[in-house]
This record gives sequence, structure tokens and C-alpha cells, in this order.
Amino acid sequence: MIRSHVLICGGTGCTSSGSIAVKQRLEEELKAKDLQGEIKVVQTGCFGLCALGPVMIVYPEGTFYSHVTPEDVPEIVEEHLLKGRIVTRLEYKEGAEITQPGENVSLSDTNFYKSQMRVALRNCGVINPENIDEYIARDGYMALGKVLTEMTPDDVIQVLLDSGLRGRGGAGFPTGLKWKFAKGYENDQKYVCCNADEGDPGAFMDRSVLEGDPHAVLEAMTIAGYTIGASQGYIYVRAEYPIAVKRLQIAIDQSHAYGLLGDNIMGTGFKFDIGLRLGAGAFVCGEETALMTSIEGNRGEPRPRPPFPAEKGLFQKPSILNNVETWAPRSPRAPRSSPWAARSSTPAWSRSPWALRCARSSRRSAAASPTARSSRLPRPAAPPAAASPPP
Amino acid sequence: MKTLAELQAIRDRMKDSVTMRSGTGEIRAVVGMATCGIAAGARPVLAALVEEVNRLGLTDKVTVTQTGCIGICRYEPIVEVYQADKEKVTYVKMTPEKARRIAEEHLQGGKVVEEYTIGAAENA
Repeated sequence: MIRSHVLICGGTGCTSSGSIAVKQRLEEELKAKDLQGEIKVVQTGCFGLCALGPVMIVYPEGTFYSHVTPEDVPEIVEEHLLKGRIVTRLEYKEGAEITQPGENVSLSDTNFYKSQMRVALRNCGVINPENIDEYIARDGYMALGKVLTEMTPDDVIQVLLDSGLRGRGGAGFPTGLKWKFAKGYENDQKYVCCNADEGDPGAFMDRSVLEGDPHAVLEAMTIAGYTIGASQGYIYVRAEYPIAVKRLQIAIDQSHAYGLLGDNIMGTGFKFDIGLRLGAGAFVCGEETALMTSIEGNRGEPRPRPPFPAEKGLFQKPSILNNVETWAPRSPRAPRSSPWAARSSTPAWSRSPWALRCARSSRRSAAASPTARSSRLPRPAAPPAAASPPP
Repeated sequence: MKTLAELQAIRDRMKDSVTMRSGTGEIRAVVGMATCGIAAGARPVLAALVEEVNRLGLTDKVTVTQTGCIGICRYEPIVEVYQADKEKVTYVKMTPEKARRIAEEHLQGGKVVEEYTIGAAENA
């Protein structure tokens, strides 16, 4: 019977700093101590603290070890896993209030995490991204099930519009509107695309999601396929993200095996499939029309709009393209009453740190200059300038 | 081909396997696992407790964990039960059988098994 889980980060950051060697050593030590039946080793996606890698978390205590080397592993096994004594010298203590020496420091106690609510990254560092069952255990694919069995495409669009979700690739275009346009163009073939061509120097938010929670992207794309009437999706991902590519392919294969992709999804007759297309490292292919041209097999060059992709996109068919980060938060709002928002008036989305920061900065700019508008898009969330206190 | 019902079945079956990672439950059952505890037989006690908590479906509510020497080695194996707003209960000289009874009566039923507590042992 498993009594403890040891989570080891398998994201790119920790893999670079040697987490695979740590995991191998751990498995050897557990075998030597005959603890394999009691301790489960789980390789997860990114925890978000790459500078402290390799990172290891031991549950149920939630003990957070940083900079773990293979040489530290025997001590952790002997002291913590066998005898229940936390190895304090390896614990990450920054900002945590320790009242007794040797007290357990868990990840959520640290300064970095204690005021965070993870939305898009909620499964990263929690589940094994190569195991679809762990995703399902965290309510994965429940949103898809609800959408396919209980909702019409128009319902889905309405929920999206109500949630206020905007494109998180950076342009902030209302996602529900984008889907609505694509749905409005009649065609026998439409496409759903995912922009995972993350090329900004030093950026790796898409990579964290793809490596840590690939099924979230697949599920959301399938929902989009149902909504706009598409049967094929493509994920355009950088070839320089080998771990992300590998895990996406594993996830696609597992979804096929479970009947969550392919013909007749969940027995509803809905058909959808997703293919991977690897980008060769051209920065411009992160732009939507260039990306679509590249998927078509041509040189990745942008083309003028209009026509917009919603009308003539990939292969000149109605298409939508959303960024990984726009797809990812789709499912946390999954379960209960509505497919995405447990309470549609306060979607989890609006509580995400990203949304808050956005709202705050738009308020600031409105207060500073009543006429200034950083975007031509309507800003339903921003209060009118007159509401700001007089100087 | 998975239907929604099958999907829900997988979720329910798998749920317990990931609850451990969502933090601690409202009740914490701690087994002393220092040299003294292990020598006195804490390992089978811990295993029995984990098994029973799973069998009774208490994984959401109860976290079974281990600790070092509690300081009263002659009473090992020791299991301590912590619950917010309640006094800590210390069970001593545990066996797997006693652990199973504690899981059922105390962790599930909320009734302290007085006869196994340290108070009962000291007064005996």
C-alpha cells in the first residue's frame, strides 16, 4: 500500500540540472531498502522554481527539497522515507515561518507560492503528465464530457463570452468572439490550431504547460472543435522543445486509446483529431497567418488580412488559432455547474493573477489619462475614468 | 471507447491516488518511526493504518504520516492523532490490529479508543 509520494520535477529546467539522475538514484535506493511498494515516485512537470532545481516534494508532508543531488538521495531515503525525519539541510526555507527547529516546510509556505493561485498551471508539478489517469483524477476531460453531452456550440460560446477570457498570447482578443466568428462561416472543413511556437527569448510559459499538463491543451482544443464544427486540430510546437513534443505525442496517443480523440468521441458521434507540427525555429511563425502557412508546408511568411483566419485560415478554410496559455485554463473551470465556471459571475479565470494584474494596470492607465486607451477593444471590466477619485 | 460514465469511473478510482498531493487532511495520524519505533514494530502498524484508511475511504480526511522519536521509547510503537480544535490523542504499544480498530472507531467514527491511550497505560 502506497503511503508516500515523491514528486520529482521533470521539466526542462530540472532535467538540465540533473533531475533524471536523482530519480534513477531514488528508484535504486528504494529498491535496495525494499520500499517500492510503499513509496511512489512520480515525475511531474515544472513546479515553477527552476533556479532551485532539481526540485523534490515528498507527500503527504509536502516537504519541499531544493538543489537535490544524487548523493543526497540515500540520506533522504534513510532519514525521511524510512524514519520520518525531515532532512532539514535540504529544505528550501525562504520566507517560511519556522517556529520549531526541524519543522516541515511545504511548498505552499514559501514566499514564492503562498499568495499564488495557480490556474493554467494547476496540474503542473502535481500530476504525472505522461499518465492520462492522473489528469482524469483531477477532473480532466469532464468539461469535454459535459460539453459534448449537454451543451450546444452556442452555449459554449456564451460561457466563453461570459467568462471574459481573452487571448493570452498577448493580443487580448476575446476568445469567445473569435470562436463565434469561425463558427459563423459555413464550410465542410474547419481547423483548430494551437500556437506553441514560443520563441520570445527566455520565455517558457507555454513549455511549462505542455510539459506539465499536455492533456489540458488537447481537451480544450477538442471542445473548440465541437464548438466551431472542426474535425481536425494542429499543434504547432517548436522543435526546440523536445520534452514538450514527446509528452504531447504521448498524450495524443493516450487520448486515442481512451476514445477521447478520434471518431465517435465518448460515443457521441463527434469526430476530432489532433496532429503535431514542429516549427523549425522561425520567430515569425508565431504570427498566426505565418504559422498557418508553415503548417501548410510553405515558407512561413505572413499573409495580409482580411480575410481573417476565421474566414480563410489554414488551407483557406475557417480556422481558429489560440495560444497554449489561452487553451490551458479552460478546464479548471470545468466541473460542476457550467463547463468552465463553477460560478459564472466569478470565474476562476478572473481570480487568476494574470487577470488581476491586467485589471489593475488598465485601471491605473484610465486614472492617469482619461482619454488614453491602450487598446481599441472594449474594456467591460475597467471602471469609467470618472469613477476614479479626484486628484 | 470511453463514455462519460466510464470516464467518471476512472476519475473516482484514481482520485485517491492523487489526493495525497493536495495537502493535509483535517486529521493527521502520525506514527513514530525512529529506531525505537521501528524496532518495536512501527512499520507494520504504519502499513495497517495506511491500508485501513484507504479501505474505509478516508483519504480525503485523514493523512497518515510518520515522525521521528516521540520521546517515550518504552511505549513504542506510538500513534498520535492530531485534529484541529481537539486535544491530541496518543496511542501507545500499538499493533496492526489495534491500528485497524483506531482507524475504524476514531478516525472514521470520531470516538477515542480510551483503552489504548497513554493515559490508560500509565494508570494501569
